[in-house]
Amino acid sequence: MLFFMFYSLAWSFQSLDLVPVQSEGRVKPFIVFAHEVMFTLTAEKKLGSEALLSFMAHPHDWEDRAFIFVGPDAQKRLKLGKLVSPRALMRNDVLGQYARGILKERVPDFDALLERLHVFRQISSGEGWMMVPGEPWHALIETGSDTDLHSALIRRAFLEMLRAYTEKRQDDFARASAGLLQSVIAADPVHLASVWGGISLRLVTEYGLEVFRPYRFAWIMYALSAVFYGLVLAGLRRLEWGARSIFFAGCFFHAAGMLLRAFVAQRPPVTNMYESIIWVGFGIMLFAVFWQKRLVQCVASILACLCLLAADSALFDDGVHPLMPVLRSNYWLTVHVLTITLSYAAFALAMGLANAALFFWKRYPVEAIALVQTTVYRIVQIGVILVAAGTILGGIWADSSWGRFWGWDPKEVWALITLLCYAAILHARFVGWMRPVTFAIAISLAFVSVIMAWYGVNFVLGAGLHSYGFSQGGQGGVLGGVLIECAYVLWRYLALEKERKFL
Amino acid sequence: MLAFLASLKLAVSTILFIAIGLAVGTTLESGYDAKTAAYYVYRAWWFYTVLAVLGINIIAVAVSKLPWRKKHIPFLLAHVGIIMVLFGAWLTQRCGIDGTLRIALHERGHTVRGDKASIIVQNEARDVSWQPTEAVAIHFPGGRIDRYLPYAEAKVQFVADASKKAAIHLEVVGGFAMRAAQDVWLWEGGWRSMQLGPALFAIKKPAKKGPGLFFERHGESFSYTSINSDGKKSQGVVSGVGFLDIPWRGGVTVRVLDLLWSAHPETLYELSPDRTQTPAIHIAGGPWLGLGESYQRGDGALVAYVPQVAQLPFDVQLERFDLLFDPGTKKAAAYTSWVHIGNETKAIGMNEPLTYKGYTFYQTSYEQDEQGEVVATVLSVNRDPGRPLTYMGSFLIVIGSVLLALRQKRKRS
Repeated sequence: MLFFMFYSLAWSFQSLDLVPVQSEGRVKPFIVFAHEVMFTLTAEKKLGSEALLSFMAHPHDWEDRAFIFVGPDAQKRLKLGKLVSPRALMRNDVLGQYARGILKERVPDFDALLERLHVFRQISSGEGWMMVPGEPWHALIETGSDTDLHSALIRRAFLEMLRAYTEKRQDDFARASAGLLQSVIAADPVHLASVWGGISLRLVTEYGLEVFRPYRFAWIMYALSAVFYGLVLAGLRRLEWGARSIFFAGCFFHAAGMLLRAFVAQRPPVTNMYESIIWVGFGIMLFAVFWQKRLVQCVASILACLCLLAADSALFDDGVHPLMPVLRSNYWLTVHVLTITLSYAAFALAMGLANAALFFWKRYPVEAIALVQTTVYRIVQIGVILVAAGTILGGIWADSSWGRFWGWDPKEVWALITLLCYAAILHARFVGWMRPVTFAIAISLAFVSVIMAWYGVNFVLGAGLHSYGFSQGGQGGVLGGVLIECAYVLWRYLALEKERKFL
Repeated sequence: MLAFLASLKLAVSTILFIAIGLAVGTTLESGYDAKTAAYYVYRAWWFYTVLAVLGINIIAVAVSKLPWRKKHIPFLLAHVGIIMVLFGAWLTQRCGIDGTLRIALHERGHTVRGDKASIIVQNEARDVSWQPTEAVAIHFPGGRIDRYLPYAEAKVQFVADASKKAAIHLEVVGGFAMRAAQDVWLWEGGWRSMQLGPALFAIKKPAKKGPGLFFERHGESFSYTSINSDGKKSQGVVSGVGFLDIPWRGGVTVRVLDLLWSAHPETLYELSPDRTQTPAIHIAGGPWLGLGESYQRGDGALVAYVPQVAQLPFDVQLERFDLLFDPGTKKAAAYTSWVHIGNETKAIGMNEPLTYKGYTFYQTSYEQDEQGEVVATVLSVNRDPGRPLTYMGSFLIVIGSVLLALRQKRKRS
């Protein structure tokens, strides 16, 4: 629906996509900035650079176009649809009263709407295009005159590009945008250019990641690997090598994506929901690499594929943002978060394997019991050690930066609940209260506590000190996943219970 | 008895019980706030009891395995670790100091404010302190708290009495009052004038220069004189509640909301949506008290509601405060306090605490004035005698569980 506002797809936006912009405390390629702006405005990751250009070229057309996303709470209270035009927002009485502070309450959805309106105005007026390097960077359109030659050149190149875009001159546009890119880089070559000329490696890497999206390839590989391993398990032994190479190809893309992101962000990629899902997926694959067992590799591929699918969907904010001061310790960040997320990975894999065992229990009871008693049990043990160590490391970090080892913060508490749940299961199994089937069912269900600790604290409870991770997104999907898992376990339980001999 | 106390059945049920209790705690925190969760779960007697049961259970299991042999080492390490962590937590809770120290730039400070609050009654030997929670009915000598607001906003209300002192309540909208409506209370008993932007509101003879709005009492009526910024005057009589006819610029309207002929002010507190506000309590049969306020009771005793404080045995002076931003934003990226402590200047930064004479100082936050200049630093101060036990116990838990996992592997193979 939105696309008729844009010109043909044959236009080349590559140069514009690469132009460095400063936003939210970081210099990034324009395409990344454009995706972030459009995600803020529309809550979707579809449109990029051209949309922002179009805001500036045709601000009046956009005023009446319904494209700004309205949160569910605001939809109800302002009596608006899911998408709304800037003008309709401006004319909304309730929102106007809220903006003037007459309604004496805080409505997060309203704040978000006002922020979106502000962002749209900033972009359409040009005040939000921080493209002139400096300390801090300046906007393309700004009150006051140019302070130096570089900013004059940048502004002229930009206006040329904008004119070419408005007048639909493709060739001129390509030339002008290349000129813009060059003049921005020339303004601050120390930071923006690489040693051998051209754009700095970090910017190019970020651009490449944004366009190429390695995780997309990784999840496709994982899906294929799961199918191949499934076929191998079904008896097609000849596919073994194929399965293995696809499996490792997936791991390669996955690892490459994480390493490149770490290079772009200059810190371990484990600071928000998006990054942690990817790391948990990778942790699952790490376990699978060392557990040379086809079923483990098959299940791990499925789980990792699901993780990356969730990350690749537009549910979570995938931006690289500056961290809260207290988190800026690469050492603790790496040690604490990686340990905790590795334990999530272990529990996820144990859950997946337990599900698989429950699935073929009836036909292959001996194999199923062996799987649960050895592999699943061992992985759970590793998970328990990791979650205990990770929680303690978190306590030590908290002690060194906040002055208390333990403060009943919800994230801490849920990590402890996870540990207690699995510890209870292990103890119960140790006394012999749990037959293999019960153990498998318990391990499947205990993963709900991991989901709560990992996702629920930030997205459902939304309280506490770990609030740097708070955001919206994916509630429906995660809840659905949990319900499906519970239903599946119940179904297997009933199916097995009919036979009686296993319970 | 020992068999029951040492049973794994007890262990598993205690563990599950703690897990469920904690889950309830986090739900409470999400629905209300951290203080409520602490009151009902984390610092509740029943929770301490369950933890004690867990401790007793572990000790009983250990005792039941006497005499210990080499194969018991992994079990003992892990579970002694748990006991040590629990005991360390008890020590921290019991003997630790945890509070905040605010020091203005270039000033000295040594008063640490805890997160507890106290009621101090004059001539009573014992202060009453409590963890701040929402749902308390705290009794103190000669009184009781019947309401508690965790985040309070003060609001003035006039109550009729026999003082014969009149009060006028105005609402000013528009112009210099800008956005929301502004409340103005004028009272003969003391609050005779109030400045709002450039304009003066007062119960007195009209000034020579404006802008301003002046009221004069004539028995049972008020006359008013308004002067705008050009010095133009207009006059009228306040006949009761309603709009006053004032030819001011900027569409300013003034409305009389209340007119009381004999009244005095009382401070009320309301729950504030702003969660950085300080709390307030209401004394049964008495007034509201904000944190730091006091009042004289009928029997003459002074009752004060104050934060619980501890004094450091030394002074800390803030010499300098460094603040760095993320490039191009007003988001703080890092901040450091340079303090003079024990004849030396030392830095306290994020992830860079300072320990001095057993007290550890952590950089928590800072205060700015309207121009954005930093005026004070806020440090957390902490003294934790349970720390060595907690660390040692944590270490043992991890080592013990690794050994447990390894031993089982060996047994199977």
